Amino acid sequence: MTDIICPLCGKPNPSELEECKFCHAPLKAAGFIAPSDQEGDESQFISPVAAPDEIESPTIKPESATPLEQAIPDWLKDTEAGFLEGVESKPEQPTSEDISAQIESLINPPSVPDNTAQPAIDDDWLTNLLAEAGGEPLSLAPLEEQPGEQAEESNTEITEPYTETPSDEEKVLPSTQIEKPDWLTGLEAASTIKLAGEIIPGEPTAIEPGIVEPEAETGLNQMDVPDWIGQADAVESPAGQKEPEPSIAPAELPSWLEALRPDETAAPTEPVEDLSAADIVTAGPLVGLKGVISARPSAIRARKPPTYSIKLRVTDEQRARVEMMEALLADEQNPKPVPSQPILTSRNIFRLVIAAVLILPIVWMIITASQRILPPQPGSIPGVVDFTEQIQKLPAGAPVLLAFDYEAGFSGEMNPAVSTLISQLMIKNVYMTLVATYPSGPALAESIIKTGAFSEGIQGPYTNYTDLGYIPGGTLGLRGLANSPMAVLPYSLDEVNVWASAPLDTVSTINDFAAVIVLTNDPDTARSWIEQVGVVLMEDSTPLLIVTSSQAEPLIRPYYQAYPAQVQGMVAGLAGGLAYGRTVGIVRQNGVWDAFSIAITVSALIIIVGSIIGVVMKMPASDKMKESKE
Amino acid sequence: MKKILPTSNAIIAVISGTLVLLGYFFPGVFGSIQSVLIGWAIILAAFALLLGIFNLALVHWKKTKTAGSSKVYSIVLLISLFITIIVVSINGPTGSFSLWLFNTFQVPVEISLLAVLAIVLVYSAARLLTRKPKWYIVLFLVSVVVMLLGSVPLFLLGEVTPLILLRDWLAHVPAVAGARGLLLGVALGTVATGLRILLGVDRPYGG
Amino acid sequence: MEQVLDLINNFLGLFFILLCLGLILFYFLSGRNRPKISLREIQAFRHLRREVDLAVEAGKRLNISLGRGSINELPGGAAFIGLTILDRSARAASNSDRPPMATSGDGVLTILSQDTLQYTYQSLTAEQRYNPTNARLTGLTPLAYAAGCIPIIQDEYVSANIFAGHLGTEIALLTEAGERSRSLTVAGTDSIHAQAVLFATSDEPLLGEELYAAGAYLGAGPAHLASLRMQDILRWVFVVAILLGAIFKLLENLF
Repeated sequence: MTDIICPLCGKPNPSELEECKFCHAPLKAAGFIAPSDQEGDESQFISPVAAPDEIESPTIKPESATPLEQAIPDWLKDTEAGFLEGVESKPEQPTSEDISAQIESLINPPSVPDNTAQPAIDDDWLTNLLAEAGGEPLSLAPLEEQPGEQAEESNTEITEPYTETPSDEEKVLPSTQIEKPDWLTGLEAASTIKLAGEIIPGEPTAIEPGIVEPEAETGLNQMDVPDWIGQADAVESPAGQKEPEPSIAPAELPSWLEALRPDETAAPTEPVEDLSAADIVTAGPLVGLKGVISARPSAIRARKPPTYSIKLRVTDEQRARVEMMEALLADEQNPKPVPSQPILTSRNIFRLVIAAVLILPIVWMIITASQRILPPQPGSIPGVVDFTEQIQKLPAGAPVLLAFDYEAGFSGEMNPAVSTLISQLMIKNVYMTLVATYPSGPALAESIIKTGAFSEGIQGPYTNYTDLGYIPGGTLGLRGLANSPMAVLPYSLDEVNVWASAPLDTVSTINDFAAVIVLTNDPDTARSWIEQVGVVLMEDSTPLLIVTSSQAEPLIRPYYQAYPAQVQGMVAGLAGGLAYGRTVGIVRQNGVWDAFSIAITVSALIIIVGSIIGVVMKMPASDKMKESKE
Repeated sequence: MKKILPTSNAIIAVISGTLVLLGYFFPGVFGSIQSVLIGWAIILAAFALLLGIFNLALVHWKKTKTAGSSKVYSIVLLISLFITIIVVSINGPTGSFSLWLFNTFQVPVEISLLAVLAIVLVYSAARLLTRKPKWYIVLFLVSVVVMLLGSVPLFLLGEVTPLILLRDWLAHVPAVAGARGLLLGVALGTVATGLRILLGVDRPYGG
Repeated sequence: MEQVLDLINNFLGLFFILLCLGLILFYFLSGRNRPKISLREIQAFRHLRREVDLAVEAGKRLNISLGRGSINELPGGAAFIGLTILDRSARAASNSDRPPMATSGDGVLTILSQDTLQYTYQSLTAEQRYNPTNARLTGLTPLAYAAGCIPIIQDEYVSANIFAGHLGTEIALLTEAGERSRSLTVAGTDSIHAQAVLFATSDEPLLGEELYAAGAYLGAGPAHLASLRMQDILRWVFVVAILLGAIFKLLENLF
């Protein structure tokens, strides 16, 4: 009896079997040739490809083969045949008779008795997995009809993971089967080639002892070595030994595995490719097989790879987007012209309106020399009376230090008081010693002196003064001036050593001056004079008088009101200047006070009206914002 | 040299500052050295003024070489600077021509700028409540209005005594108190700044 | 007793300075091993840091006005703070297309600002970015200084203006120019009048001694934090002393 090599697991099976007793793969498929049919010592692993003439021997009956048989490629048949013939195989061209025998055995699988036990598992791949995993191939359930034979033939060395009694389930397929997923079904279809309508539960047959012996001789651990290797060793036994395989007890499958049994009602699909007309391989390891992709160099035609066009397939939409991107990038390169701001904006108009509202009344008052507003009274402005008295106390011809430390821009506010002071000092024939800590101070002082002299009707240049010029160093210079004026300012602007001649020849320290009068608009400058020079002046009760602007008056007054007072008299702002003028009998009728009054009134009105309008106009906008938020 | 110079600058600054400070408290011991150092500082400040004017001229000279409408103003500035230097050098700082330049150009320009400043302040005050509608802004504006209306007799209304009294109180009590508080804080900050320089931690002189 | 009082009166200033020095050293040395103290939020400095970043991104420059305070005078303290702000701003904006510009109204301050910029760029190994004309004197008088700063604000692609130093009421002209050019204005000065003007005209005014805290808020070093803590402590000492003096004076007048 010739053995049929299982196309899936490669194990020999009796020819009468239709299914492999190990993996339940159908044996009677076209293309599979039983190894026992092969003549000679042939390799079990490799079935040399038969010559085309041999392949076309009449032993090959593709016509009578079933479609499934036809689907099995010849190379697979040869592979199985060679696989089972053992390791030491002589590369030998199989004869056509061998090939045909193999094919025939596959085409006509051995018949399986009806009472064969249902295989525990229809899925050959699963059987192999379990066998490899457990080291015990799933053995088919032994037949009840041949218990003894099966017992004798049972391969004790091949342990069985489990056995299943075929009595209850061998004949009956599980009524309910777990619905398999499509992928599993497809996998099974690819892995097992089942005959259409001929799928019969394979009969678990025992493996022949002869085949098993090599495994025992090798002494391999059956748990580690896959079965197919064992079968190969068994096949390597001397040729011609064709001992019947011992029956292997069928495996007892668990219920869940049983449930995975495929639905046998589904007819296996035939392979798509019809290999009947395919070429038979005549050389190489796959000789004799049909439908093989030729690996021969001649089959691989070295040809020039096809050239593909590098032109992108751009759709209209993509082209439009590309153009848009290019336009965007081009805009980035070109600087956008900054939009010119309009000259007449609401803010500019508002500024012009405010300026006009302020300037026009002032100009009108000055032009008309208005005298409607009562001028300030000396008694109502603190410091003016004391200032006047201090000036009146100055002895005639006494040197007085006059510091012009106010900016030219504040001339409008300071000049009424300064000019009155200068005129009074000129009347008393006081020797004015001019100094300045501002760079523009000397020029300002000269200008005031000349103007005052002119207003007093003094003919010729006024000479009863000296201009010592600019004191560098700021506060440090004042400190030095307080200690030694001669060291800080040795010469006048005319490059004359004034300290060597009268009246300054009697002056060695700052206390030698009759008074120190500081004319400044900056409260910090005033504080510097008070803190650096005033401290020294207090030692000899030399009066320190200050003429300042109204912005500095709140900060200077505490020095005036302190006890002991550090400032003996002060005139602040336009009001103080006019009041001081009234005190000494100088009344200026140039409309300045009226202009100042109307300017202050209009400014206050502008601030009030502007604030109200701003709040009223902003209220609807804020309401709209609130509504939009809601 | 790059490492030595910053360290030497710091050492000079620390020693000089310490000597001047001690000269205030121990004039008998450090008074003379303090006077010398202060004299040097005054001379250096005067020379720095000249360097600043040179820097100003250089900046505007470079501007005249660039394209643009602003170079006209730079040309005017340079011409004015040179003319003033020449005139004052010849005529003296208190000469007639020098005073003519001063009275004709500087005084009117500065007075005009101050007038613009007044308009700007009024405009800013009128828009302040629109920009920052807060309660303390309202308080600020009320104080401004009271100070303005109480400083002079109002046109067509004359003196409003309550306003004048309120203005005097505002000017000499809360305003001065707040100013004193600010000045104390400024003084503390100035002391801290000076001490940082004396310790050599702050080096505004580079290094 | 009178001699002791005279001694105290004469050396009160020295005691005060030694006290300040001791507190600064104490907090400087002890602050090294402690986590950084948290400072109260000052919106002006937060906007300042943001504006520096925006200026760098927009390719514009900062205009830093140091005022006209001479270092020989009392306003010199504010001038030094302006130099500190200039240093920190120049470091932050060192990679800007347009470096920051410093303006001043004093010759010494101009030279110091040039020195500050030069040292800043040297420390960043970017000496090539230093231009001496980026620190300039714009005017010797307050209004001339303001008149010289206005063209810079309007014509030099300025995105933010920082006024830190001694500036008077002329600062209103500068803030107005900043508003016209749509640039942010952060301003602080030691002048009382100028602070009143800033309150009404500036976007972010720094009032009182907030200007002197600039170094601490801009990360100028632990010494600035230490001095800030010293100021906080002494401020409370002054408050207590003033209150006690007022109470004693009141009691003296009553009894």
